[in-house]
Amino acid sequence: MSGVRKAWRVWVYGLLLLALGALGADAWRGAEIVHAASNQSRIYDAATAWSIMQARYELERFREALARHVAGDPGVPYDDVRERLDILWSRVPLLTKEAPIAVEIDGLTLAEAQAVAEDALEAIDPELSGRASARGDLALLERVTAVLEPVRERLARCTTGFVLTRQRLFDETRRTILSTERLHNTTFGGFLAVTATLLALALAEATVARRAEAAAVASEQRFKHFAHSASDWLWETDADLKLTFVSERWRTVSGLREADILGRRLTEVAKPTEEAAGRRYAADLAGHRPFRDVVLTGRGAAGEPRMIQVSGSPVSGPDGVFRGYRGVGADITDRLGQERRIRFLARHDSLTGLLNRATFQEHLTLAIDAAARDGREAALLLLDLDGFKEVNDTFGHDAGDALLREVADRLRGVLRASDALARLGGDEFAALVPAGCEVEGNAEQLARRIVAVLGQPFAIGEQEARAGASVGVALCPSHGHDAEALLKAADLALYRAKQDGRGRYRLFAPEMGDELRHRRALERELRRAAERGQLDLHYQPIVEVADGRLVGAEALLRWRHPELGPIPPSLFVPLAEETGLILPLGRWALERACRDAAGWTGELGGLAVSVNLSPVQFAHEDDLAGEVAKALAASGLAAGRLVLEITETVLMRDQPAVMAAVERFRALGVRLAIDDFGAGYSSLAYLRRFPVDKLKLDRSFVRDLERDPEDRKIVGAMILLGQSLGLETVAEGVESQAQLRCLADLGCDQAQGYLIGRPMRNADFLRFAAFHRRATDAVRPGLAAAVA
Amino acid sequence: MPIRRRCLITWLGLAGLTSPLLAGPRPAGAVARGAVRIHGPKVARELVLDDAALAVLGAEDLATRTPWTEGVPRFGGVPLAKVLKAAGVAGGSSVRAIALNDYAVEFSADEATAKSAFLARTMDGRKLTVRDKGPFWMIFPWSERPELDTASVQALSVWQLRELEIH
Repeated sequence: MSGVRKAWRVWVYGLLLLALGALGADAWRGAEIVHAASNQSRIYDAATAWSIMQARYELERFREALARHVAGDPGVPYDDVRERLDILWSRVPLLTKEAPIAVEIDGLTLAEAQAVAEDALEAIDPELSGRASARGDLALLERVTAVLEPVRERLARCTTGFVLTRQRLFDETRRTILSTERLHNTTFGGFLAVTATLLALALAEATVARRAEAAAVASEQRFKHFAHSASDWLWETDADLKLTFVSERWRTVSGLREADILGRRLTEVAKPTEEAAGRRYAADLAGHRPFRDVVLTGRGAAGEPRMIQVSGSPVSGPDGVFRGYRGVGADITDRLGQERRIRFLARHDSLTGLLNRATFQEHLTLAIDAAARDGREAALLLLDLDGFKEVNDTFGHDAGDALLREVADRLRGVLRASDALARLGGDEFAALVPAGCEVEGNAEQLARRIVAVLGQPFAIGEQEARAGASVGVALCPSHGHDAEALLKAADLALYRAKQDGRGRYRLFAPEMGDELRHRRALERELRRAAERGQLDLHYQPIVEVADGRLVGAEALLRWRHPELGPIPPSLFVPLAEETGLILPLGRWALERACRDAAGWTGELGGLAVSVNLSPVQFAHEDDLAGEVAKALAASGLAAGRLVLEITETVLMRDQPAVMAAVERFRALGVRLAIDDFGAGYSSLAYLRRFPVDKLKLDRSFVRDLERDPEDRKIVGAMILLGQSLGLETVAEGVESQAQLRCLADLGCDQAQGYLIGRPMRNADFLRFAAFHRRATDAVRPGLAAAVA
Repeated sequence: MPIRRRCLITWLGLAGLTSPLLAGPRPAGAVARGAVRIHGPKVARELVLDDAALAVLGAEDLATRTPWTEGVPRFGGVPLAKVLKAAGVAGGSSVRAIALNDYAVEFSADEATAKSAFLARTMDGRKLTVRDKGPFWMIFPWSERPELDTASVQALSVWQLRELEIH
């Protein structure tokens, strides 16, 4: 009996000992579970992932704000960019402060990522903080992007690292719980009958395990919630690479429904964008290896291509068997689109979408090289719009921009795909016809077509405007062996086309360079002429037709060059107008004429002086009326003795500034004459609108007056028109008695011309006037009789 | 006590008339940087909380530790309750606090008031900038009431505050 009892005792003690051992092991495991579970709640705390994702998100938002600001988006002022930078600054310290678990991937920790981010921000901060705008500063954008790239890369790796760490810890905990349950079950089954304490302990432990799992599930939910709201998304596949989960973010971005994605293979949903990367990606998938930042092309709900960047790592079950992939992804379509747009902007003119100057220069250099290599010609066409400034002045800058866009469209219409087309700036365009057969003929034909299509009117709102274009053509290699020489040749040809009357094209010829040099020399001389006293005013007398009485004189600008002699106004006045020298010359002439006329005293006290105003003075003199008032005040000349001669074209422009100037002239008491009346396109409308006093009939009508009955009819009609509007008429270029008689018959009021007197120096004019007065006093009755 | 209270209200009202505190209807987005806009269907008077408005309301001090700073800084600012009262927010309203980066969190006005939410403008005498969670940061008296040191209260600690939308 005792042996049996002893054996039983041995069994019982043995079993109890085993039970104690199992309990000890259980307790040890239990403590581990509790520890792991509490760890878990921290691990799954979304804060870690949140802080990384938010930093990435703010980095992208900053970069996007800067890119849009640089690209000229009016919705993004520089203050927004600076605010985004500040927000990014504020995120960086939170990388370690807010992340409760130590993420580590391939030796990279959050602390390191934070240090990299701080260094990067320190590097770009002074440059970004110390400015008020960065519009168009592509170099800055590139620098900032380059500096931020390592930060972006570190944060992306940290995200992957977080997903991996989190998954590893989760799996570990679950394994621990499962294996503990197995161990526990064995123990529990074996010793259920032995001790109730064991049961109670086991029950308590089961509760702990359940709680831990519940905590894990709760964190999992929290994590899913985070996953749905983060800017990147998470995804999961099964072992067949069929997607079993994608966070909501993907569906929001792509517009796809869950049914469109779930159950489909990852490789069907999106395909690699680049070939080499794609092969590596396919190999990684086949070998169940992790992959990182692979760019794939998928489709959105509307079938539009979407670029996504994904990273993934394989997930294994507790048995070590491959269960599928889990990873992160981001839609980078918009970012890539923006980068493409910026690259496009850097190479193109933002207004018209044509090439810009720098890019065109590259094309030109390539075309020249090709021409030299193949021994064939290429052609360069430079063109600019003749009437762009007028459209801009009359209809405003928006209309000017619309006109430039329309011009670009028309040019695209006449050029071939192989021709390069650029806007070099302002209203200057260039086209390049690459080497090919019969380039010269083609280029001329093209130039002709360009002139024709741009000569068509442009619709601006409900109105029409004519811009017209002049084109200069240069051929390579005949007119230049490098881009600079070729551009210069085309420019000279363009200049010549403009000189020859605009709305036409010219092929470069070597003598064009000489002409221009000559003009430049002349311009230099003209600039110094006033200082050197080479300029003078001559006065041509104006008389009453009826009685020959002297009523005034027209002041005419003269330039006597010490070597070349007198230079005709028809040569130097257009040059002065083109170069803007007409402004100082005009002021000088006005002052001088007033001063001279103020000296016509005594018998000559009532004589008027006529001074010509150039259209350029109306367009560019800031305060033309003020200049007139100043000249009058300085000379003391009575305003009623000054007549300002204006050409029709000035009034035809119908600009408010012209109207205002004319009204101020009237207010001063100055009289106005229309010069060369009938020579241009006469529109009678402006005669009603503008308060004019005199019409000066163009000399071309007077020349053949006594021979040509048509001219006589026209002059008669103009004189009648003047009379009916109460305007004095003055005939210019009167050279014969017959003409004078004819004018008297037609009722013309005044006359001017070689018959009466050539333009003469002021001193000569004074003598002429005194003599003329005595002569007319003596012969007046006779002359009057002859005229009658 | 009733007399003093009336005085305060009158003073607040008068000050409001001549100060930027009473913003009146302003278009969204017109608020300058460095200010919090308090608006929404449940505000009686839309207001803009900026330095001037803060001066009118009366700046207060709050010394507390926070999970994001070292030591026990002294914050200057105004209790949320005071701001909501100035805007005429009725009890039972819901507040949506929106940050510069569009982070938003929604809570009940009564709950935040009970938890002594405080809108900080300065820290240790220095104005908070965007880089250190300014211009306005919603904090709680964690030092005085340790029971507030929970994840859910931390989630309410919106920094870089831009708007309070009252529903």
